[in-house]
Amino acid sequence: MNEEPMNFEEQLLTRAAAAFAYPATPQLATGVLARIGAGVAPKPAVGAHRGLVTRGLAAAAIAALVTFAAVLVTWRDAREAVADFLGLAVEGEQIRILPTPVPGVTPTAFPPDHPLDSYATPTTLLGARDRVGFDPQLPLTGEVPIGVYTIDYQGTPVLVLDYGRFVLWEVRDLVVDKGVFDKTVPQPTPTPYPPGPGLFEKGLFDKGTARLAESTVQGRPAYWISGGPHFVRFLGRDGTPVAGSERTVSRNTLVWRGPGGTNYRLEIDGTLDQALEIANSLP
Amino acid sequence: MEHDPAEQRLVLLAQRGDQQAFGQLVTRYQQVAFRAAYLVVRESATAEDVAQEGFVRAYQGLSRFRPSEPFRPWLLRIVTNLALNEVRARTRRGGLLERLGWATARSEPPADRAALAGEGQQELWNAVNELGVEDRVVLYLRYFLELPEREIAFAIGKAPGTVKSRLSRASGRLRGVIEARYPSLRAEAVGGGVRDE
Repeated sequence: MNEEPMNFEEQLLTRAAAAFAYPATPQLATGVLARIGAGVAPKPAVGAHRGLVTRGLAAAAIAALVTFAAVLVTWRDAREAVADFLGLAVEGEQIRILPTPVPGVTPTAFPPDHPLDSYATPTTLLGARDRVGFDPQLPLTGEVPIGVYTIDYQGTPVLVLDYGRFVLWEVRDLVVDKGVFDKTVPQPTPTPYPPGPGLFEKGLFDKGTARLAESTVQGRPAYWISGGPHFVRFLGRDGTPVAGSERTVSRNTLVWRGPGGTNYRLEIDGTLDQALEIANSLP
Repeated sequence: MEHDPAEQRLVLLAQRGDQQAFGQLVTRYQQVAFRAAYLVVRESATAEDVAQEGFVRAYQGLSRFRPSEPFRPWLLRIVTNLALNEVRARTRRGGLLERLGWATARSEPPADRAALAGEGQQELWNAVNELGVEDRVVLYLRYFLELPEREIAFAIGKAPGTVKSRLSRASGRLRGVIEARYPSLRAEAVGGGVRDE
């Protein structure tokens, strides 16, 4: 296999590989296409049907907690709830709940969900470090990014790590005054909370399915948006939207501010528990 | 990596929502995906779950995949990560059960006996199991799946220039384990062949 003479361990591996009897390969296409055709509802975890009772109980407990949090959030007037959240807001974060757009009035309630590589620049981890000016913080999940990107939003460098099952955004607020991440779409009705000095701002519609819940990452306040799409656009340092930055975030999202002034946003097709496992593994 | 126009066409069609095209990609790569998963998790049923999940995740992530890149190493990166996650989850579950007194935890399941041709291979497998997961995966990709170094680099998310050194380090650590714990393996290799009973 190698041009150079093989060491004995390489010989052993080569012979073992040649003699290795794999089980018959299952036909996967039917099952894969069935799941894709059903809207791709990923399994909670690989092998979960053989999982343990404890795992199921834990998932049920987490689901109950998330549901309870969602009920708490939606039980009160949404705007009061947001005011509470803003009072406890993560530094550099703002979350707004907006009036649901009226059909026919708002031309585009859901901005396009652009592919990441249509607006972000692919690079390497080393290249990203040079561009964003800080060391990329990598979750210790044993996974490696399948894509590393940077975005320059009018002078604010943003790092995006694509792991496939989740995407991690990182912004070091060296430049708190340089930009605001405004997760809203243009609304015909004035919003109750004008953009503030945060780096990130999220928009959820009061009659939408997305729900907001509080959480913590490494003991720091965090927010979990789940159950439906929300919106994002980037406001430049002058407070105006950066053209083309609007997009829909259909995945669940965990946002928090980590040590060193880094703001994180984790988009994931998964549960809060899975998101926290990733978030808490960060240095 | 050689460019495969047929594969690129299938990827482009799948990115436009053609599920049958993606089905052809599944058929084309299901064996390597299943085998990669099996090498890590060592259970046929779990490997099937992992491989299927890998294809679904790949489909979900197709919008982020560049058709000019080869599909196989990208898929294998996803499958390998899922398989490693499964092993870690199994380890955590095993640890929990052990603490509860229900089981003895271990980080690896035994390889299916049918997959191993003899005692010598079982010892080699035991030696490989004593390596770290990164070492194991790079050895699987190279020697069992026979991926070229550039594809290995893509599959493990490392620079192509580092694969040779990673392979060298992994095989060196394997050599150390064999010499310390399974010295008969070396003798047999030097003598012309592993035991194959």
